[in-house]
Amino acid sequence: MNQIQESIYYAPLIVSIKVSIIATLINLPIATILAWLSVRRKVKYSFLIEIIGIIPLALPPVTIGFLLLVGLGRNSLVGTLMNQIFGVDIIFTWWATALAAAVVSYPLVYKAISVGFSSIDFKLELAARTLGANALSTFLNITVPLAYKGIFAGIVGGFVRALSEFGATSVVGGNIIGETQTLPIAIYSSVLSGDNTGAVILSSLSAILAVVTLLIYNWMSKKIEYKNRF
Amino acid sequence: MSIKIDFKIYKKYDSGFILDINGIIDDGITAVFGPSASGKTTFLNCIAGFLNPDQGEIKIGDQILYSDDPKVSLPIHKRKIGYVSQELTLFPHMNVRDNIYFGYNLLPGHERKISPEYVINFLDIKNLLNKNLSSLSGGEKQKVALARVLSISPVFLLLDEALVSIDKKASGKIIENLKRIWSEFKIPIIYVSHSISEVLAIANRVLILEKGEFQNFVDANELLLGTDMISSEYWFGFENIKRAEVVSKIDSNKIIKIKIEGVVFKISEEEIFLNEQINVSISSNEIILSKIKTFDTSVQNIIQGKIISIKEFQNFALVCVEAGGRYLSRISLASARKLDLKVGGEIFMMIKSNSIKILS
Repeated sequence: MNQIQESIYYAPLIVSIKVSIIATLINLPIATILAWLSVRRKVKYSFLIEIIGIIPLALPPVTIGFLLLVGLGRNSLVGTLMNQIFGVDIIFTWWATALAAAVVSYPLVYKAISVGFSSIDFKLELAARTLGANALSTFLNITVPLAYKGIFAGIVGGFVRALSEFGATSVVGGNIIGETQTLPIAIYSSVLSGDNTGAVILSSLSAILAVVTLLIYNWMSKKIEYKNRF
Repeated sequence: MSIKIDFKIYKKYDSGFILDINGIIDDGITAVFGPSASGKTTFLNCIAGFLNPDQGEIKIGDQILYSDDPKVSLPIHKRKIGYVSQELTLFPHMNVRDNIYFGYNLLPGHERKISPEYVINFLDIKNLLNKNLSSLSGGEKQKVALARVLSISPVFLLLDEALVSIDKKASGKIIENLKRIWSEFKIPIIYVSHSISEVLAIANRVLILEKGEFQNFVDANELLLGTDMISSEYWFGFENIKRAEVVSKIDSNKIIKIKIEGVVFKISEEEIFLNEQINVSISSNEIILSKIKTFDTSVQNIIQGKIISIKEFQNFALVCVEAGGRYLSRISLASARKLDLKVGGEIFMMIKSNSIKILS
């Protein structure tokens, strides 16, 4: 296999990993804070947080991509501000692809973390407060460690979902090799161009990546479980 | 200087239940006794800061914890109240050491008056420090929970049904620990319970709470006399819990003598030793009363005493007998009438040696 062919296969792999990591990093703090506000603090507008947390699941990814295109495009308010302040267009960049992957994978991250938070006995948090811990210290020392299973599941679920994302990312990111072309987009391109061998190789890479991620998840779950037991 | 909680609490729930109480709780161990849904836990929650009253004021010494005018509500983490609930709420992701040091590590240096090391030695739990919570017994967990709250140098201790999850045998040790905590650290304790046996074993004073109102504020010893303050169902299965000292070695008949408030009792027990301090429990149902001293009986303990109160309920009578300490005997109404018991009269308590149970 020559170098050009290798780059055709590896570039989408690297872009996919990069996009998925950034999407997960975007989702993690947002989902954690919103799940905490909704599940632990039960704030007044919790139902809105719940709706936001679930709506990307109900929409076709292409619709999400289109909405992001409209919302972040050069003619939009955000697009105009980005262009005037930073001199950049976000659409059809690597960042837009990551953002689209983040939006699509958000429900998985949010739901898993919510379940993690809701499984905690609130009396443990109250106990920490009586022992002198303020709200932040209680969150960091009690809530997060006790919700680790949900948070961890959210990270992995979100990452895997971002890896497999196609509809939204292709609309806002396009198909630029080495920039916005993720594995699913590369597979689609290969199929369209009749390159069945390429499609098989890319599909295999995609499957290996998913399996490796899940194996790492299992291994780390057991490691954390073991550490907590002793 | 003794510290006290001065409170005036009014709290109304959507269900219509109203807690409307005021009073002062100071030194010593004060029990809050009442049936379920009488407002005991709401009272504790208001003091700990988990709930705010609708109206009122709560002060510890000069520190205002809550006031509706001017509006003040001291955050929970600044109240320095050691709270032990019946679930104990130990942190499951931490070992014993980390649980005990959790609050202590958050304290500013100048507020660290009680060191965890001292508490660990005091409660004799050094061997547990590296253990995971899942390997502890109920009694050990209870000690860890107490060590954890003592390590924050609390101004007050609140214990909510703290013996509920403990087996009867281990409860004696905890009762003893609470008394030792009071005498060692001089931290006032509020102990909430719906068990009259526990209340009388632990507290100096009792606040009786019923339907959201304090019915009375009495000396614990007086509660045995004023039994009409508490309805009959709470006296079923009442246990006389007493502190005792072992005064003899086991004899050839497998009997050991113990002394309770100056009176010697015989018990059938092998695993206690001379001079050991123990807690024992004698069920009120197992104290038989007799007006004459009977020698031809299998009962090992025939203790002379004086009747100081008789309270008749619908289907039984509670007789309080003074014999060194005070004991309650629960007998049938028929027996009470047959014996024609009179306050001030002489009586013999007959207690089988194996009816005296060791708690610790």
